Amino acid sequence: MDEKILEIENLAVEYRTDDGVVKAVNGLDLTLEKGGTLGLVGETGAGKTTTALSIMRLLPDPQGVITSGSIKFAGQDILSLSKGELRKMRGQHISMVFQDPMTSLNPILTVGDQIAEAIRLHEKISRAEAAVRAQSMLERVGIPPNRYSEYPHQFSGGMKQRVVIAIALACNPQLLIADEPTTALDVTIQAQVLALMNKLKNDFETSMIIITHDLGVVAEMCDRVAILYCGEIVEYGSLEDIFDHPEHPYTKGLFSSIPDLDTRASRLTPIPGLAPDPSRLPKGCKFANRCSMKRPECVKTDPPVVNLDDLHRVKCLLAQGKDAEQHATLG
Amino acid sequence: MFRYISRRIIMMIPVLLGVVFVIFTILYFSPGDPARTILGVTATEQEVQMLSEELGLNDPYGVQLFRYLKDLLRGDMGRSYKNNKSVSAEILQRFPTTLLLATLSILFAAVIAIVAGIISAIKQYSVFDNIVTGFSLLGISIPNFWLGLMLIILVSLHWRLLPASGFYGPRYWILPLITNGVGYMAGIMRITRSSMLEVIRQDYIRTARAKGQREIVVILKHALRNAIIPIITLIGLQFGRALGGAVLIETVFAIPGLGKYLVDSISAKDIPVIQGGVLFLAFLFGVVNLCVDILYGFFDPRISSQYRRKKEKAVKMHAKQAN
Ligand SMILES: Nc1ncnc2c1ncn2[C@@H]1O[C@H](COP(=O)(O)OP(=O)(O)OP(=O)(O)O)[C@@H](O)[C@H]1O
Ligand SMILES: [Mg+2]
Repeated sequence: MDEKILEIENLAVEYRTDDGVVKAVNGLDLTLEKGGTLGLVGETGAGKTTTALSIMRLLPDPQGVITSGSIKFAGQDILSLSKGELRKMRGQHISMVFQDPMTSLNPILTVGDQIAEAIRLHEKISRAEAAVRAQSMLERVGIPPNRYSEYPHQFSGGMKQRVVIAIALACNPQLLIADEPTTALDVTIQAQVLALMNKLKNDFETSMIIITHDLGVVAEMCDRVAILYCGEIVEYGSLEDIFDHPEHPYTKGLFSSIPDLDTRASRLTPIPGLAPDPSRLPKGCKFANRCSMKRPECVKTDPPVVNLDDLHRVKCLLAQGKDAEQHATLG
Repeated sequence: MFRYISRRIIMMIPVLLGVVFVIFTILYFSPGDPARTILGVTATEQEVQMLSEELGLNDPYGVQLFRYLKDLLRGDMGRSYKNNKSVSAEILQRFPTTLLLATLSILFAAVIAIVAGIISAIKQYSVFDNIVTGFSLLGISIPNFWLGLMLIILVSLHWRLLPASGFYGPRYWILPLITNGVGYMAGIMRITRSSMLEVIRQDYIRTARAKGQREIVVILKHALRNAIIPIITLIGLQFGRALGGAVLIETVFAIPGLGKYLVDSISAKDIPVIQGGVLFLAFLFGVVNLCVDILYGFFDPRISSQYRRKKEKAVKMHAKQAN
């Protein structure tokens, strides 16, 4: 588990639009161990998809620009790869399941051909062999292989999502990024897709990044969790760290905003207010305007990242003094 | 697909019958005496009466319409009032020239415009894109007879590179083809650019890139095929219109095509020619539309599968009835 498959350091991404510069990701640090599963959690607009697209180097061209930082995949710097090397990497080493399965498939190609295309791009096999492989991929994601030559419009949303997953897994990638793989699906299909991904994770030993705002999905699938807010990781840790000892007021807020079955009386308490406009970010803590534990210093300085232990870290002024050294002396 | 095509061909028959009926009726009730038109103002009333009788113009409306339809079945569209030549023979004699000019102009326009439109879309706001956008604006606004005259003055008279009139061989085709093609090109460029711009923003294009597909394949296989429907629609419309002849171009370059023949027949009130011409154009439009529809089905499986499903249903119904 020690080998790192993905290391992101100080990543900053902005979108340059006619209306101004949107700072979507601001100095993000993230690592993922080989075979691990990371949950990337945050509310809408937090920069989850942007982070994923940066790893794939698929940011919209020319608006999306990586302004600083480095992304290393298996020790190799992704940001300095040539076009040809990128093509080799995409689909073969890193795959992505996109957020919206309804629009992620080409309407004029059969689903089978779309899977076979991915295979043939990375393996020197004949058309016929690729078709056979694609059929077995379909079967693997629970779609009868005889539907190979049907078109996306003949498939339901859940089936399209499975096809998208089949495409992503067709070449046994080392890293799978799944961007909200279940939000478009109803609950039963959702459970099936998650079970499928878990199974595939075990079969292929794929490392995964699962993007979601569903904490239930995180609990079921992930061993590491990163909480993203305004393009920064405000808290990172193991599943237990985040679920049982959340430190950041935003993380705490997230947990109190899901209804709790044990104490039915407790009401849903959404975090009040809105995230700041990413084209006009405040100087200090970006969560300060919504924080119930705000102090005057919070709006003045950008809070430091505090390492609570080897893994668990939090970006909050309040956590200062709770850092690893103190833990060490206490322990 | 075969059944679909044959059904579409059969469906053209009532449409053409309708066209015959409408055009015949309008011309029948339009003012003016054909016999007088033929003989001129100097002929006596008696001569006019005799000719009317001879041509069957005094027969009731129904009889005349029936006779026209009967002749039509044999491919006979009557004779011109002006020079007594067979209308169908005249049309068929001119049509190859028009067809050649139309096909060449559209091909020339489409090939350049589609390539330029694609590049313009993938390099949006680049210098090339600005040139293409500017060109299509110009191309749409420049009257093509003016462009033709300018080309003749420059290329034929001034530089003496190409002949200015006639339509006898490749050297003669070039100027009319450019003159005619520029307008089409402008239209196709615009629609290719906007259609491609819309398609390359789609999620499935990103999916194709995420597989590691080469950019050129992403553009041609994934994007263009999705963007092609409006492009084909426009080209079909343009081609249908071009087949009716390009009056101004034919006039400027003295090309013996359909357009001038038909327009002249209108000012001369040469009724058989007008009728035959309109009918022929309606027929051509039908054929072009049919080709466009077949191409739709070829490019967009959602359209052909709709039809396939209908067929499957029909087959199932049949099987049920047989049981
Ligand atoms: N193509 C773009 N042009 C301009 N701004 C963009 C573009 N794509 C995203 N953004 C902006 O960047 C920020 C981050 O967007 P992103 O899509 O990464 O959010 P997300 O966390 O994936 O949200 P969601 O949960 O809704 O998918 C948002 O403020 C968004 O408005
Ligand atoms: Mg997203």
